Amino acid sequence: MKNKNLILIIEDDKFLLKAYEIKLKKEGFNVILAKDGTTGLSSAEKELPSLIILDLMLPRMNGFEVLKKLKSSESLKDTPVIVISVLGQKADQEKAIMLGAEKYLIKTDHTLEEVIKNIKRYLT
Amino acid sequence: MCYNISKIDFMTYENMLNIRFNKMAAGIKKSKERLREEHEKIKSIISLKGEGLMVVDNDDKIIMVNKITENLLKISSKKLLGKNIKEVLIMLKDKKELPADKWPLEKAFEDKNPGRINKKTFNGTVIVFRDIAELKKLEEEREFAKYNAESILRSVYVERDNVQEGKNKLEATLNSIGDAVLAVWEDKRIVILNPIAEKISGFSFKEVENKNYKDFLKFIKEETGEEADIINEAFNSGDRITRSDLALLNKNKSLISIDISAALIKDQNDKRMGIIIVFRDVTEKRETERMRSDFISTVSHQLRTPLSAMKWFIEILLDGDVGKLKTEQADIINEVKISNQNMIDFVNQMLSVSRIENENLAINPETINLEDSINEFIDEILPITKKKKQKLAFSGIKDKSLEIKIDKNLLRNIIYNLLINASRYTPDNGKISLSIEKSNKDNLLFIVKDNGIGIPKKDYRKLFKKFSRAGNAIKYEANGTGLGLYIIKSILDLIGGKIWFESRENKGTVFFFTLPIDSMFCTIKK
Repeated sequence: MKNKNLILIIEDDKFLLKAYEIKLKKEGFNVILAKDGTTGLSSAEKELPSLIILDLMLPRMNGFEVLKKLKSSESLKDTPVIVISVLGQKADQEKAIMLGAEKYLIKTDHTLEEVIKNIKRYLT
Repeated sequence: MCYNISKIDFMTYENMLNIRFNKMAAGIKKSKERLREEHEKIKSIISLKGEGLMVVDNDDKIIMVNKITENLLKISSKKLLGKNIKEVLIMLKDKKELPADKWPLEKAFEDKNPGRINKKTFNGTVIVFRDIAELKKLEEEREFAKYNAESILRSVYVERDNVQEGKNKLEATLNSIGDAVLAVWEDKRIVILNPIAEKISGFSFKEVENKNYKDFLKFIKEETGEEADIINEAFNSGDRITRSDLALLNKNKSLISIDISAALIKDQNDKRMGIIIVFRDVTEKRETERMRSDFISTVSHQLRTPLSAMKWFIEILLDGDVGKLKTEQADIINEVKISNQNMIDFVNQMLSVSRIENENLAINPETINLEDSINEFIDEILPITKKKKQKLAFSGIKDKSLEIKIDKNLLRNIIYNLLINASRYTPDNGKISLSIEKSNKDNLLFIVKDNGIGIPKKDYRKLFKKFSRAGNAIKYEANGTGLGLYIIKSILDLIGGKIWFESRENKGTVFFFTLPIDSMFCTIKK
């Protein structure tokens, strides 16, 4: 059963994780944090969040691979994924959308408020 | 010894005499016949169609003329007979009158055989002549035709030599071009494969001449490996196609990274004849690009990650999510916010500059509706202008359906940066406008106007240079990297546009830029 209020954040920078956590909790969401792809995938399978925020530059397994795995998992393929990354090239954006991400945001271009707006928009 | 003349001998002798006599009689008869024939012949000669005949005696007197002569000379025989021929007629040679002593009749007089006319013998000359005007005309025409044929033949030779020279020039040009050149006719046959193309593809021209290109050359999308038939695409779309993401599968089945451009060859009647393709081996360039790309993404990551952390923590503080701030605290945090945003803008622009300077600016033209796209860009600026209570007006485009094939990001970059500048350097309640018109048959003209602080003359020269900001701009607005106009100009240089401005200090500024209607990176679709 999907946890309606649960957001999974896969991000390797601890400061960003903290910022996400503070803001999202303030908005009333429950939050799980994962520092890399492997942890993120197992947490996702276990907790079945209602939305996943995914960074692309992750140690060991990169974000695109994680995205592929998420979208090929029976239990997770319909979970909306918002990619929030520092990579700004059009090719990266297109690749992420093609692999099934709902939205691609460049970190420095958006406030947390805008991130929240997007989360609310794509939450099923 | 005496001979006995017998009856038989006598008879034989009589026979012999008879035979001889008969022979003589027959001979005389024959001569008579012949004479008669000759007479008839002369008669018929004299009355031969088309030929004039005149008989002239040794004293040059005309003693006989035939009907044809009367007709040709248009003089009756009465007037001719008995007259001196040299007094009645003029002979011309090369359009000049021949003097009487030069007439070519004398030679004939040397022949002393008598002729006979009307039972009178005479010594003289028979002159036979005919009107050769027709003949002369035919000959002239024949000469003329011959001359024409010769001169046509000569010009054919000259043309053949010119064509050969042209062919040689073309071959020499193709051989010395530093890029690979391939030309394919509309029936898919390869008609040109220059030395560089041979080298890259691994095939010699001889191997592939007049054969279907698909049997030898495969173009692949480098990243995905899927086939990209750029030749077919160019032929069907009629547009020039430029790609920097393809590779060529060569004879040895290796993939060579290439930058490629394909364009339609049309004849004077606009009929499609074939495709000309130019490409070059960019393996090293792509490798460097990959390294640079890695560098850029590393730098992005390293800088952007802490910058966004700072941005978001500042937001959290100012929103009071970790406790309410005192006014003074909030003020300080606001300053930090501004600095942080400056750094973010700077990193963004540096990335653009890096891509432009290293020609890593991927130009991906796509067909977009011009008015819709402009409206999108304006929507991005509206929050900024609204904050300063400025009025932003866009007059729209006459032809709402006008489509343009251009890299949308680059167009956005230009328009966004011009509008940001306009807003930034104009006070609150100011006016900013954007309009588009067709400046001439080759360009679209964009105009961005503001009634802001203007640009001092002393700063004109360096305005488009990297990191340069006008003196009054720095005083007016601390924000600003000095990269905006440099980036805009670099993009326009790349896609074939121009930018210039007019300004009056404290009155306002107008920026003009053009986009070409038909170039490799920008095409306006009608």
